[in-house]
Amino acid sequence: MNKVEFLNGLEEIMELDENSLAGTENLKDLEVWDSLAVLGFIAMIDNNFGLTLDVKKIMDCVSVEDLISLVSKYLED
Amino acid sequence: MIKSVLNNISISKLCVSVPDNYRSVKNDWRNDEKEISKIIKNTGVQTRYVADESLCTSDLCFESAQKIILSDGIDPESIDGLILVSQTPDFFLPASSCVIHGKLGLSKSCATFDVNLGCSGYVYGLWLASSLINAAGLKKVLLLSGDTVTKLCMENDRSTWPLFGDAGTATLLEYDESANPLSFVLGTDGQGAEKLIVQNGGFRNPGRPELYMSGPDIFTFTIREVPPMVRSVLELSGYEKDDVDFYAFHQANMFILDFLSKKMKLDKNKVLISLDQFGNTSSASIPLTLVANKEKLSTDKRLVLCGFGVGFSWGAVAFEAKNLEIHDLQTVEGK
Repeated sequence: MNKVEFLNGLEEIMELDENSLAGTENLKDLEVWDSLAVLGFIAMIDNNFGLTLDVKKIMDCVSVEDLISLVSKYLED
Repeated sequence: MIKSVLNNISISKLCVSVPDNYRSVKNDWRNDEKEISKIIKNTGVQTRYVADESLCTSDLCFESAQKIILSDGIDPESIDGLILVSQTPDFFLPASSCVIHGKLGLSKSCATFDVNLGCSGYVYGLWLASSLINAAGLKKVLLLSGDTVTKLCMENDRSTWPLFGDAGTATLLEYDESANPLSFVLGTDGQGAEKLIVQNGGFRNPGRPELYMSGPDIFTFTIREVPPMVRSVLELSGYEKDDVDFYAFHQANMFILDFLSKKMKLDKNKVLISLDQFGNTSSASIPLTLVANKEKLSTDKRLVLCGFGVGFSWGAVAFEAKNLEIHDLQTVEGK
C-alpha cells in the first residue's frame, strides 16, 4: 500500500469522493471521522500491514497527515 | 491462556426466552430513512427484544429453566447445581440465582451462585458447570445466562440503544460417560476494564447506571485476542478449522463478526448469526444464536462457541454436540 492507496482507503471508510483527501485536512473538520471510521481505519491497517495500532495514538492524531505518519515506514513509495 | 479438557459432560438441553416487546430500528427512528440505514449499516441490527420495567433478567432465565424442567420431565430434586451468569441482577443481594432457585422449587442440596461476567460469560459458565460435574461430583447443573442491558442504555445514545437486546437462557449439563470431551480456553486482561463499563450505581460511584463503551478499544482487543483463542481451542480439541460444522461467536456487532470471519478465513456459511434479529444480548448471545439457528443443529454437530468482551474477558469451547435438544424460542410477557 502506498500513500495514494492509503488515502483512497480512508476515503472509502469515510464514504468520501475518490481522491478528495489531500492529507492536510484536520480530522475535526471531517464530520465522518467518527468511532466507526476509527474501526474501519484499524481494520484497514490490520489487513494491509498486520499491525494493531494503539487506539490512543489514533485518537491523538489531529490531521490526516498524522494518521499517515502512524504507518509511514510501512508505506510503499 | 487457561486450557482444559473436561470429560463425561453432556450439554443436553437449551432454552432461550426474550421479552415480548419487539422493537425495530425502522419504528424507533421513524421517518428518518438516513438514520435508519446508517444504524443498520453500522450495527447490523434490524430488530431486537427489549424488557419493560416489569421484566428482569431473572424472569427471562426462570422461564427458560422452567420450560426445560417441565417439558423434559426433569425432576427438580435431581438438579444439584444452579449458576446464573449475568451483569444485570435483580438486587445487590441476595444472588439472583438464589431467587430463581426458590421460584423453581429446587432442592436444598443444590449449590447455587451468581457469576458477574458478560460477553464471555456463557463459555465461562459452561466451564464452571462442567468443572462442578467433573471435579465436584455433581450430576445435573442448570446454567442460566442472560442480561437486560437495554436498562443500562439511554434512548438518545445512538451507539448503544440500537445495538443491545435482552434475553435469558437456560442450559442443562449432565454427567454422561458417553459424552464427547469439551475443550476450553479462557483468558482475561483487566487492563481493559474501563473500556466497557457501567461506572455508576455501585459503591465506587453512586448514581444512575449507564453503559459506556469505547468501540475502537474493544475492536483492537478483539483483533488481538480472538483469532489466537480460536487457534488455541482448535489445537486443543484436535479439530482442523474446516472440521468444525459451525462457529457461534458472541454477537458483538456485524462489523466485528465480519472482520473476524475474514481474518480467520472462516467459511461464512459456518458462522452463525442472530445479531440482525436480536441485537447484542451480552451473556445470552451465544445460546441465543444456537436457538436462532436450531434447524441447522438438528443433528449432532461439531461446534466452536466463542465469547469475548467486557472485562476484558474471553473464552472458547470446542466440542461435538450429542443429542442436544434445543427448544423453540419463547417470548415472555411483561407483568
